[in-house]
Amino acid sequence: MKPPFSVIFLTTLIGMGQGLFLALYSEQIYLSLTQGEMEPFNFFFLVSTCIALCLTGLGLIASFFHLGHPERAWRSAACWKTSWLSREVIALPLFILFVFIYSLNFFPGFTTHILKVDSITINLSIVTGFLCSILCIVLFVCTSMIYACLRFLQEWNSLFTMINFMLMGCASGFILAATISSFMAPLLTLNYVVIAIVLTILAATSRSLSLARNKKLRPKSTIQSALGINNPKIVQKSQGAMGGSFNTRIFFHGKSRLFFKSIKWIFLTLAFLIPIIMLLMELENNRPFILLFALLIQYIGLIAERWYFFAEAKHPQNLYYQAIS
Amino acid sequence: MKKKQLALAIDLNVCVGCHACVTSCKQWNTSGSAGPLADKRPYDEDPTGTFFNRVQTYEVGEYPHTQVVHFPKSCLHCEDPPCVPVCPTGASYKRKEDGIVLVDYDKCIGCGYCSWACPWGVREMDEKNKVMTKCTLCVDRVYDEALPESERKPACVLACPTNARFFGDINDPASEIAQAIQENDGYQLMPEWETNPSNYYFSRKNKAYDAMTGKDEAAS
Amino acid sequence: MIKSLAHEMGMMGREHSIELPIAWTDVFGNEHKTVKGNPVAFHAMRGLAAHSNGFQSIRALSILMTLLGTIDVPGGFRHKAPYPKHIPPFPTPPNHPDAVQPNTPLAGSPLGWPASPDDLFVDDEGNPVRIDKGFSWEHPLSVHGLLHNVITNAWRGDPYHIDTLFIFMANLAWNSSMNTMQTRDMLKDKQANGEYKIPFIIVSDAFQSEMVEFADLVLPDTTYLERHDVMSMLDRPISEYDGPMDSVRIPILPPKGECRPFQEVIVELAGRLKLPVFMQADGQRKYKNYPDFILNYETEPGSGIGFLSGWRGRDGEKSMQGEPNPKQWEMYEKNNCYFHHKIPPEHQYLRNVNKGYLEWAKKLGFIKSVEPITIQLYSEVLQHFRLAAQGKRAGRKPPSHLRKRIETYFDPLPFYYEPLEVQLSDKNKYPLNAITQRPMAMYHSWDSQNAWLRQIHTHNYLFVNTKTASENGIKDDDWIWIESMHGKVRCMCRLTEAVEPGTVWTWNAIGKARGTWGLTNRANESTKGFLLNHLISEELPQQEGMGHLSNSDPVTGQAGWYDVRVRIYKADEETPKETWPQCESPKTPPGVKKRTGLWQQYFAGKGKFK
Repeated sequence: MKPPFSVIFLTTLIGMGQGLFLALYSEQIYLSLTQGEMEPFNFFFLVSTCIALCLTGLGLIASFFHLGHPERAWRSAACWKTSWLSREVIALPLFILFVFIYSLNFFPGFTTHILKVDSITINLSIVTGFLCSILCIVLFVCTSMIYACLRFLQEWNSLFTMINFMLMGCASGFILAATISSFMAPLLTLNYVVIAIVLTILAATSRSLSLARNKKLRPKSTIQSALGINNPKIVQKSQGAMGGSFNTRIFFHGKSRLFFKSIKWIFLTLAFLIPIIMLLMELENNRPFILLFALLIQYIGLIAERWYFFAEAKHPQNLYYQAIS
Repeated sequence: MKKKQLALAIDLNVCVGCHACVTSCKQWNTSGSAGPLADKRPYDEDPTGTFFNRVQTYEVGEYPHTQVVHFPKSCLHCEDPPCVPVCPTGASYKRKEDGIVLVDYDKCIGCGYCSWACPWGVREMDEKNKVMTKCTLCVDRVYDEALPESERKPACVLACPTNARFFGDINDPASEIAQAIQENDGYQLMPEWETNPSNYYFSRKNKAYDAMTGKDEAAS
Repeated sequence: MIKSLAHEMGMMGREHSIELPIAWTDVFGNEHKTVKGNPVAFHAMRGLAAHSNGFQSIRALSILMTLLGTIDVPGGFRHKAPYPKHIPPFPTPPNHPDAVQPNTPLAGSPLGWPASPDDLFVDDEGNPVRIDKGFSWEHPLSVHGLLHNVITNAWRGDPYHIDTLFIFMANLAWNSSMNTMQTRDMLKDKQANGEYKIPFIIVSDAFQSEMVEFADLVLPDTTYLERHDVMSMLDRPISEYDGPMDSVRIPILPPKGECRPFQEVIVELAGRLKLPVFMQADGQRKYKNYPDFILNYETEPGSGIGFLSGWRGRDGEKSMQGEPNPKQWEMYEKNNCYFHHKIPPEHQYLRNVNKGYLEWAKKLGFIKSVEPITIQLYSEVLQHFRLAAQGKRAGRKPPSHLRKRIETYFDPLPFYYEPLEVQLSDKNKYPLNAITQRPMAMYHSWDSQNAWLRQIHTHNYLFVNTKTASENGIKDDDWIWIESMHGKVRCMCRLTEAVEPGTVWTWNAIGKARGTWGLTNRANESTKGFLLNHLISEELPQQEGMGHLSNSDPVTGQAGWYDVRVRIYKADEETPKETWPQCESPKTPPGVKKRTGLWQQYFAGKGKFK
């Protein structure tokens, strides 16, 4: 497939926003379980949830650029019964809405986030946060299933697609959390760094396994099945048009084999290897700008990974678009 | 009683690659409710444009036993079309009354997702009008009572000079197309994806010639 | 391969002959109860005629069909009206320079079928009279003329200089010429005194072809959508096997700007030149315009035979023959623009010797007499020329330098010989044949640069057999040179398994000169498209004492387009990725708007482009 840049940005930004939210909420759960105080970190939580909102909001805006008729985008919720894209279109704004509600808990002056019903104490931020987490998982599922449900794109049609989206989103979210906290709430940074290392290693492993799986794939469609002609030697001479068509512009990355292969090594290095090394260094140190740098490198790597994700998918329709004359 | 499914059958034995079906389709559809179909850089370098039907050419085998096969390709109007459930707005739909798969331009947001779901690459996003387009089986001809009955067929079928294209209800055993599919062992494309395409193709063979020269007796 | 084909033909004839229960009478008066035939038919099309051995090759095929008993029989090779005709058909061309007098119309037809040297259009020394040297000893039976030699002859002044070159539609500054680049130079070449060698060039064309830029005067033609046309029995009708058919075109759009249908221009010129057919006795013009001419012209006064065969007679009640019908155009329009007359079955077969048919054909003027149309296995016509060359015939004799040539090629029985240019080629240096064919998608509409058809065929490749390419170190999509003894061309290569290893080919009609045909300077047709014509010469390599001979069949003068021998080799990495030769883009003619919009959406019936 030809990697669409608006989709690359929107999925990586939204994924990072989702990961950031999970980082915050999981820290919140950890604090409440270890009887830690949230109070000193309110401002950090407020700023971070706002950043999460910005990322997911930017992502939502970027998704409009992928459309031919953005003014009709409201229609895209219609087919949630059958379409993962429809479901994502519902889940994303819902997630943003609930994260916004969650963020209200950290506004100065909003002190009544404790509810007492009879003898039960309900912490509103924990409850809303829990709902956000559900929506966050649902959103990861919907987004990744948009790609994974297409059985014709064998490279995408596997559980790895969902796992990789989740792990990479979470890894980048946790590094972002670590970075913000190293500026604003250094006491929390170590936790984030440790989890970020674990998640990045898991993501690297999972992505490498999916690369290995894809390498072993045998295409289900051949030129023989595409034409229904039973001869081992079939070569296209003309695809019916000589100036290109929609089918030659969208379904193939158009770069050289060398370029394509190098992107793989670039993303493995930038999205996983270098960030892991830098994070390991920071276990002892906690230098904000180093963490920021690690985040930026990982993000570039994730852009490259997402490019590669699209480029490695071989669409069977390409069998019909091989030559001109 | 199976549901009505209108579709095309294409005889690769007699398609000569003249592209009459390509241009008649473009003419009919650019001028009707399915159009207009834009062309970009029409008199310049690398002209490109939206077409519903394309004819491709393949060489099968090696010299001196090469066969040159001309291969028309347009939407196969699958019984179980993968392009329909993925559409987020419902613009991509399959008609219940005759199985034609269509795009509602008023609902289409131009996301292109349906084309990712089509293994045959028969959907084309019109770059100017930014909606997905594809073969409509000339639904606007088939039901147009102002046309004489003999012309209530897709433009491509009427244009084909070698009678390589059939049209009709493939689920009606009495129809010309169903009988032709039977007689010619019509086959579907990429059956491995199990979408049950409704268009059929007839493979290259020459039954009459083989019968006359005794080759079929040798084979059977 | 040939043996199995021969076997097949023989078996078909012997075991699958067809007999139809149709009673018929032959021209000798015998009655037959059935029509029998051997169903073998083959059609030699334009490609065979593009060789200088084309005539004898096709004659051999026709004799084979005759011997197989397939001429005008069920399942065989059937005639289409106005054929069959006696051999040779009438008329004959003028046969002496005296036939051409200043300010005087020709007494007969300018074209015809010479039956002997007496019918050649030569002077007392045996030199050609026509500018293209048609009907001369060089190629006596050149009924189609030799368009490809006109410009060279005019430029050289051989047989003479001309003052005006009037070209209708033939794109002689590009694909209709051989030796294109030199032809373009000849069109603008000057004498020592500064005058053009071809002083005045008129071009009539509907499109801005490459020829248009050389014109001193352009007569813009219409397309077929804007004019009346006829496919007439008197010229090249669209007849079927079972009877004559002719057709018309009726305009559906008004002409644009100053365009006029070319036939109207011809009728107008005929009127101004006072050509007798177009004048009444009192000196007034006989016909208002072309449609009027078509309606009212008769081959002889009162013959009832005109251009169109359908709905003749005062009220359109007669077929084939009848008084002019003033409403004939309307009748054609009402009937899908064609007329088809079905010959009764008893006259449909073996028309060469079918009494009823021959009588009917004579009545309609297809033939002049009710005599059997004998197929000449041994050609008397050719033998006349051979005897003249051998000095065994009274009358005209060929110039001495052509005697051997005529004696050789005017063999009354068909024979195979290597094409003339091939005999003079280094076949080792140039081992490959090069041919072209028209793309089906734009066979009759290639001039219009239709925006949809352009997308199907935007530029062309040289198709080369995979093994031939690899023997020459060439890969698919490589830029290569293709070279003959006359010139070379740079283009891209497309490998194919569908051509034999000794032949390379490309599509006709796609390669264009930069900036012509209303396309931009970047159009693929000029940057990546190419012509083979640059490799082909209109004249044979010069031989001692032979003068300039046309690169054509020595019998018919049919141009030897496919005789050229070539070789191919890979182009250097440094060479520009563009075809060669290239031409400078011509200046936009006054009044012509360049179409350069990025988008175009055509919606029929709106009267304009969206």
